[in-house]
Order: sequence, then C-alpha cells, then structure tokens
Amino acid sequence: MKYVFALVAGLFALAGASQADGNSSPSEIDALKARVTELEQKLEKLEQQESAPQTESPPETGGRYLALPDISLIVQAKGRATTDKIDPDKQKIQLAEAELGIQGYVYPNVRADAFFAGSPAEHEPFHVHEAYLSYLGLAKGLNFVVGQKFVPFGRVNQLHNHSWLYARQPLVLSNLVAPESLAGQGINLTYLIPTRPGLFAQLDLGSWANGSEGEESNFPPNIMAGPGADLTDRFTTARFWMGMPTSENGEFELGGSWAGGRSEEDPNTGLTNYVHLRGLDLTYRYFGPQTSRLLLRAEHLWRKGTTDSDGAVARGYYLFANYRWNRYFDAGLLYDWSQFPQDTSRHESAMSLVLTRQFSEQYYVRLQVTRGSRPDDGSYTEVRLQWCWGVGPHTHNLE
Amino acid sequence: MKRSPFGFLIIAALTAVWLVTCVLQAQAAVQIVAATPELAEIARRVGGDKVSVYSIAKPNQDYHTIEPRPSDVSRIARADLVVRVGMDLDLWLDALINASGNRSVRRGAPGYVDASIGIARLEVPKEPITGASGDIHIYGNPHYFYDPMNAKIIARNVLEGLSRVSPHDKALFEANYRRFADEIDRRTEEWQKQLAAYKGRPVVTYHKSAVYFLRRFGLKDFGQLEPKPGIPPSPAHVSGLIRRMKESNVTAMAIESIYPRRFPDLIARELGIKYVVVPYSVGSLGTKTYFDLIDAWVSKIKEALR
Repeated sequence: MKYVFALVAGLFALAGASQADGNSSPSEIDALKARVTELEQKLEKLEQQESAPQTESPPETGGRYLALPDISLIVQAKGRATTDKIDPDKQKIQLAEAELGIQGYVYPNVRADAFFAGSPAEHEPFHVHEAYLSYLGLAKGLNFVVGQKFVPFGRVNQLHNHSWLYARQPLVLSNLVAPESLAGQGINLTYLIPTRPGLFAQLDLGSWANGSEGEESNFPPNIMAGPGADLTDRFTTARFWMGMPTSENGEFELGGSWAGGRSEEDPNTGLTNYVHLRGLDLTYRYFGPQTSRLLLRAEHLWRKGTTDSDGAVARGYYLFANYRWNRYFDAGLLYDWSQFPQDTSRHESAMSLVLTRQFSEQYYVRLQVTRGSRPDDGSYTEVRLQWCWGVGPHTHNLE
Repeated sequence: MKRSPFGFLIIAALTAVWLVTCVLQAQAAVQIVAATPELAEIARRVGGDKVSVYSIAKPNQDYHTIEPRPSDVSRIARADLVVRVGMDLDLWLDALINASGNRSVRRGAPGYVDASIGIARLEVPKEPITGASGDIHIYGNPHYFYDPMNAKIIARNVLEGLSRVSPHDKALFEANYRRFADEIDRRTEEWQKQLAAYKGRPVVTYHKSAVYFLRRFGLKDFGQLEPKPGIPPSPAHVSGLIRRMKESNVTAMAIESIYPRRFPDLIARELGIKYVVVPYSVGSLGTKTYFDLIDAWVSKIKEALR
C-alpha cells in the first residue's frame, strides 16, 4: 500500500504544480501529461502485484509439512426397527462402530496402515481391526503385506463396513465367511500379472493364522446361523481377480477365490473343523453422464466343513444393483440367499432396498428396508437407518 | 475332508499363462497415464506421436470422487510417466500407484509428474480448515487447468517428465511444447479480446471451479450454488444467493456440466435469466481438445454475460 500512497501523493503534487504555474508552455503540459500516464501505468502494475496470488509451488512430497501420519476417525450410528422377534437390538439406535485409522510411510516404498475399531453397541472394546505393513513394488508388479488384515477373499471382504453400499452384510457372507470381514494374521503376496494394456489380472496368495471367529445365532427351531468360515487356526487363501474395460465408461470384473484351513479344536467335542471356501464374483460398472454410475454385482460362495452336520456343501449368493444418479444420491436393490452350514436343507433369503444420501465425501445417511424370510420362523420386515461420518484423511487400497 | 488348493491354483496359473501370452511386443511409444482428460490432452500435445496417453478420469466424472477401476492399475503398471493434477484433487491416484507395484512412477521417481508445480495458486486457506469448511483443499483451489496460461505450466511439467524418461526425444518434445505454448499465447489473446467488453462483470457458478478462468479474463467470481465447496446447495443458501443476485443485478450464471440442474433452473426462473452450461472436461459437450474446452468456456460465458 505504501507505493500506492506515494504515487497518489506524487500525482497530486504534479497536478498542483501544473495548476500553480498558469504560464506553462504546451510542451511542458504534454510532458506532464506523459508523466501522469506513466505514473498511472506504474500504479496499475503495483496494484496488480499486490493482489497477485501466491506463486510458491506445493511441496513435492505432497503430504504434510510435518512427518505426521494421516489420522482419521470414522463413526457409524445405526438404528433398527424390525418385526424380527429374535433380534435383541430391535427398536434401538446405537453407536455401531468407531474406527480410528493411522496411516503413513515408515520407509521409502513401505507403508503402514493401522485401523482400530470398537463397538459400544456390542460392548466390544477398541481392538486392532487391521494393522499391516505393505512393501510396495518389491519387484515389478509385486506387493507384499505382513500383519493383521482383512484377507483377499471374494470381492468385498477387504472393504471396511463404512465403504459398503448397504447397511447390512449380505446373509451369505455372514453365514459362510464372517459376520463382517474375514481377517487373519500372516502374510500376503499380490502379483499384478503383465498382460495386454487395459487388462487387469492379479493373483493374491496368503498364509494366515487366527482367523476371525464366526458369529452364531439361534433361530427357532434348532437352526444355527453362521458360523462364518470358522478358520480360527491356520489357513491359506488364494484369489485371482481380472478386470477389463468393455467400453470407455464400462468395466467388467471377474474374480475367483479359495480359502482352506482349520478351526481351533473345540474344547467340548475335541474336534477340529477343516473348512474349504470357494467363491466366484462378477461385477459390472458403467459410468454415465453427470457422475452417474451403475453397478451390478453377483457373488456365489460354497463352504464345506468336516464337522458340519451333514457334511454337505453349504452355498449361497447375493445379487446387487446400485445406481448413483448424481454425486448426492444412490439407490440399490439387494437380494441374498444362503443355506446354513449346519443344515443345508434349509435356507434364508432377503430382499432389500437401499437409499443413500451422500452429503459430503465423509458424511452420508442411509436407509435400508428389508423383507426377509427364515425357515419355520416366517418372514420379517426391518428398517435400518445408518449415519456415517468421518474426520481426517482416510484411504484404502484398491477396492 | 481335506481338499487340496492345487485345482484352483492350476486353473489360475493356466489363466495367467494365457494372459501373459497376450502381452504385446515391447512398444516404442512412451506410455503416459494422466489423471484427467485435460492433462492427457496436454501430454498428447507435448509428446506428439512418441507417446501413448490414457486418462483415468473420464469426461464428466467428478475429479474429486473418482472410483478407480482395476484396469487403471494395469495401465499404471505399464506406464513410463504418470501425470497428476496434484493439490490433493486426485488423492485416489495414490491407491492405484501403490497397487500397480510400479516404482518408476511413484512420488519422486523420474516417471512422476505433479502438473501443479509452479502454478500460482489461488484460495490457499489462510485459516485452519475443518469439516465445516466443506471440501477445502489445503494447497488451494485445484481447478487451475481452466486458465489457459496455466496449461503452459502443465505442459512445461510434462516436458520435464518426458525429458527424464525419454531423453533422446527431448528436442522433439521441446519443439512440441514451444508450438503448444505459442498456440496458447495466440489464442489467449483472442479469448481476452472476446471477453474484454465484460471486464469486472460478476459470474455465478455451481462449484468453485472457475476462479482461475475468471481471474485470467478479468471477470468477478460472484458466488456459488454450493454454500461451501463440495456441500450440496441448500434452499436457504439458494434463496440468499437469489436475493444477492437481484440486489447486485447479476445475470450471468455458468453451470459446470457435471452438476444437477434443479437449483440452476430454479434460480433462472426466479431471476428471469438463462444460464449456460460449461464443459467440465475435455470430452464434455462435444469438446475434443484443450483449445475446444477453453473456446467453449469463453463463448458460453460471453453468452451468459450478454
């Protein structure tokens, strides 16, 4: 501003001088006019400089100025109104989960991710959800992970529940895999197979221990839902995942997964359950105008355990369609069908309508209306309402 | 009952072998993966026929919330150069680079280009930002590519990246860059002439995407339909905006092509004005090149200001 004042004062002084000297010659007047024009131009330049934007470049490291990790918190509250008589949480709004994420690099090309979660609704204290180290680009296309992680099995097992497009896990996944996601402690190798441009082909091989425990619930009469994969001791996983564009805006994905291992010995029966899981998944996504997106997904799973009641293969599947018509709204339809490992002659199924209002990148509200049926217990209707919000930078691997 | 995983693995291995046989012969062209169609277009101009360019974001996709696709990973795995917008607009790119296992395009590697380096940044937050600030970017407004003079800086960054990964073609890339920069200078002069009569006039947009463009052409950013960046318009905010537009006699409204038209239609009805839709990306509304994009912005905004 000081330049501006100085120049304005100069202009006044010049103007005053020219007025005071009434006998100035025309050439002097012209010279003074030229001087005024010159000063005006200088003034304009200085004003432009004052209002100029910052010109420094962002730091090349791109992250923060301090070597702080990315810290985030994601919280979910869920309410449920249901006609399901065996549901202990009906007609309640509860704090379903809080997830704390700490992520950052510990060495060039070595990334650390840790997620801690707790559920007041289920009286579950904060515990390690995932904590793993990723060695990125160990060799061309090869990544290596060590730690505790949601294992690469099926299309959605690695998704955290705040990234789901529905408020309740498809029945087949909770009955045959895990109530939320199948996690294990161990190692995993991911290899991106070199293919023709645009064709994605990835192979995952993992060796794990201490897999997540399943969740069993008793449905009258004498049917036990779950218990998930029951791979509570050592197990191995393999997944092959392909993706190929069908057009500039469409992509088709195909995945095949396998997991095999055993449960810990049952203290009551002394038996160990040897379990094999297989899965096949298909996904199609089409990106339309104005951020619209159509997603179609199907996943079929088979599970066989040596201590299952009849030794038969239990199977199940879900079909899911989701349409996002702009960045704020999406709607989905989910149909799921699943047998029970303990009694494969019986099954349960459900149809859900899901509506999501995305307020910002880190805040959404979801409504899910489900009509389900179970053997002998008749049908039930439930309405779920989910609020999900987060603060801080929170990222996941390719999902 | 113990079942061997070998059956599954054999099938997977056979499929893998089949896929590997699909690998094309080594290509001479430098493979570039750009985050957005604008960067891809500029990279194509600088690289000429020595490069093959792919854009991850497609026209009319919101660059803030791209859903990465598996095939994008395979493109990055084969890339010699990755060009990103930077300034935290395309944070989704990091997960793709990580998944690709391609060290040569990781941050700081020779094949990594942050196109925002050297940009005169606008709207860099001067106060602490919180969730209540909306989707604010800590390094400033990242929509710098709508200013044609910034396209020269982007091109310069691409030139430096290309010269690193393909030094023997440096002279050719420099010539291409010079041609592009001259064309930008020539066209910017024309665009400025077209909008010269409207200097200082206010324009309303949906999102804060136009600030670099408006500043370049001496126009004024009057306000947005979004109350804060990334936050959807609320009835209260829109009615306040209508009132302010009436009071200040603002009649120009330009809506970026990815946004819903419900509230723009309402404002247009209330004020008896017609709004214009500007292309969000190269490839939107029939645009094919970066010059088409800016041409469209200039002509549409001129139409709105008439």
